[in-house]
Amino acid sequence: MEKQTQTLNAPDIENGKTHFGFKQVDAQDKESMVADVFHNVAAKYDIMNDVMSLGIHRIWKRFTIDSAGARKGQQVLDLAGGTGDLTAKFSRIVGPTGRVTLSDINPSMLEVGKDKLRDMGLVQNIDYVEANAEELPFPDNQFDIVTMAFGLRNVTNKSKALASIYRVLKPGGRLLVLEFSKPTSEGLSKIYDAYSFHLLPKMGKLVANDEESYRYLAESIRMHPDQETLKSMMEDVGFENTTYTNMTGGIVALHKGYKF
Amino acid sequence: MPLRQLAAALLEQGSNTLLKLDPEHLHLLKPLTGQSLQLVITPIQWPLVLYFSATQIDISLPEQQLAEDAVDCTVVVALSALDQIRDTNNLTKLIKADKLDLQGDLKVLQNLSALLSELDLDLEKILTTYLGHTPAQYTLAFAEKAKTMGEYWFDQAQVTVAEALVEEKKLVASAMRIALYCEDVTQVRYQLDRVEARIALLERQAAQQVEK
Ligand SMILES: C[S@@+](CC[C@H](N)C(=O)[O-])C[C@H]1O[C@@H](n2cnc3c(N)ncnc32)[C@H](O)[C@@H]1O
Repeated sequence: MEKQTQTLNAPDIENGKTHFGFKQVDAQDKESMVADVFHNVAAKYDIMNDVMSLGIHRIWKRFTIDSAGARKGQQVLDLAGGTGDLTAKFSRIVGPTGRVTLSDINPSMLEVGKDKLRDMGLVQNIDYVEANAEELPFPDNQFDIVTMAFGLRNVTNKSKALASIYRVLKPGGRLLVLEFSKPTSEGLSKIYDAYSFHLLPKMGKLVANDEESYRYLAESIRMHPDQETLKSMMEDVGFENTTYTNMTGGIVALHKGYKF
Repeated sequence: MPLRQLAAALLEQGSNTLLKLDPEHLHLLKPLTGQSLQLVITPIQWPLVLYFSATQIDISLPEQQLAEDAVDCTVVVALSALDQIRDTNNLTKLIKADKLDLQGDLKVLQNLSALLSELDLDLEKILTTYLGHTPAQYTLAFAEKAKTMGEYWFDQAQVTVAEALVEEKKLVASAMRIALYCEDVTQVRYQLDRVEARIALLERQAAQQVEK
């Protein structure tokens, strides 16, 4: 149980091995294992998000969007953007003179996102790009804002992804990472553990008929670096004025850093 | 829980539900599609930003007023004049009275005013669909009464809040000015006393001359 209450801050890759949830796997295999998870959950992803978080993920995402300070005419990259919740809002904020790129490594998630955004009538200013965050296929200094919501913990080499994001940001641009983090109180940690390791996989089974994928999601949250560690990782690749804001008692944190 | 975002989400949900009650309303969004408007109500300085698209309005409540070039139009309006900006004929008058400041594209505000005035919701039709005829009529009669009372209360509250806020702001901001003002009043009072004494003296002199 102790293993569950702590965020382990395990290094991404050691001796060619990495973590996939609580399992140790060959680093080169993690990408396809993560791909399988999101391929399996893609169709039910949106509904599961609402069920699992009781709709609170919408508020976390709104906070991220407000903190991004996007303006009309800007270029935004919604990385690991999945089904495009952030893209939809950014598309309306930057307006017809701006552009939003919805990028994800997983074609199934991207496809669900594309359909959803088209149904919302958002077609004008959105590009869809299948890409690995570790090797972004964009020129240097392209984006005013990069957001990554609930994506970074799935990436095999997080530092590489952060460096790649830094490269594609314009000077003056900013990165916002919204991710599960470490609850600030012991009591909340216990309730949260009970919820994620007992209830969440059951809910996954009930709604999406997929217990395993939701078990991975819960485990991957615990393996993700805590607030201070992620902040240092961002600073290590060059981000400045790096800060974070805890939400819902630290269950989720929003990290923000600038490229100057 | 970020309350500002929660409030924005509720406001957005409410506005879009109203807008979508009648599919015909959506065509009203057409002239506004792709545009954005920031409304800042003074003296409270609460910015509200509206982003219009073909199917909905997105609402955000940022912590601080956004820069002028972040949106298409920024409207800074006094709380007491909020009602009046719906009629675009009032705009010049309000600007002259220092109750309204407009930056950016005025057309966005005009289009929004047009949307609000055309958004004439047929509540009876909507309620009848949900409740049936008789309960709908009762509900409307009750709502009408509540509205009249509410409007009276709102008018009173608006004036009180506006005045209180303005007074509050003045008080907080200018304790120093009040001290200076008191000083000025004292000076004026001394001067008046001196003028009064001088007038009395002149009157006495004039009376003595008349006696002579
Ligand atoms: C939990 S979903 C988040 C989706 C969306 N951002 C949201 O907040 O609803 C995580 C996403 O990260 C994507 N992802 C995982 N590894 C990635 C990588 N190396 N590069 C880019 N995207 C990745 C997955 O395909 C998935 O769509």
